[in-house]
Amino acid sequence: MLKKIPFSSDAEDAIRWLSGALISLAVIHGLIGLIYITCGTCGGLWGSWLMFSADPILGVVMTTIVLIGFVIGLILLFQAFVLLGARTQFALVLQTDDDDQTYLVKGLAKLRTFFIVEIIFLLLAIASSALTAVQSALQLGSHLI
Amino acid sequence: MSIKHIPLTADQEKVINGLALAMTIAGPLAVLAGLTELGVGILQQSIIDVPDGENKMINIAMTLGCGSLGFIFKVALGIWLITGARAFKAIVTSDDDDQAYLEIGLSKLRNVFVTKVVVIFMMVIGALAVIALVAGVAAIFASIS
Repeated sequence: MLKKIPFSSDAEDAIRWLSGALISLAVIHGLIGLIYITCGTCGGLWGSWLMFSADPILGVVMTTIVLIGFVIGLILLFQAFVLLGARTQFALVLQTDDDDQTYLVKGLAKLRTFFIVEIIFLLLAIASSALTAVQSALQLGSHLI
Repeated sequence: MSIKHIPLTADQEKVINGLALAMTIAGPLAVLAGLTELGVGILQQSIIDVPDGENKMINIAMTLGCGSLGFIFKVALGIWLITGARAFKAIVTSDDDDQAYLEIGLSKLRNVFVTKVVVIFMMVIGALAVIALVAGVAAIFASIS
């Protein structure tokens, strides 16, 4: 195990910038996650409760959407903690010289987790865009007919 | 002085391989997501019925402009993710200049995360600018009438 990796000043700058970006992104993810969980869920459930009396099916649909939003909020909070964990490890690489290799790999492991969640989000975004495209194409077809 | 061989344990090699794989998958998906978002945006604008006096082509051009900017960011992210993944993979598969590969990988990660933060801030600033513009125009109309 390497206790100290003799990074160049450019590499140290890169790690410093990476740490800064990770903490900023963690705060953003955390805030958006909290907004989804608190405001989104409370407001959404209130709306779906009102909707249930008018149309039960729409109420169920609305509740499902709200619950999906709640899960997304939880995932965003999870990502925020992962990013904060990675940032802590990279900061230790810069600040200490007692076990650089371990800290670095721990930080990279956190980023691997972050990217796995990102892949899921990207797949969902692509699927959602594809569904919207199909819907728009059908609408366009009916316009032309 | 650069370290040619970083003595990674089997678990640490697994972590770095996993990160490289996740980045290799996330890169092309980011580009694909940008492309589908742009395509769907233009498709939707082209089928929406606009009120009299509004020009549909202006809406399409605006969607194309904003969407292209988002697409360019996604392409940049995709390229950095793929090149970063290659560098991390090279740490595990070769022993000719591990530290240099690590520094390349870290600099690509910095680019990815700094760009993500910049894009989010630009979106927030853009949204605030639009709100301020709408509020300003509304205030002017209110003072005239």
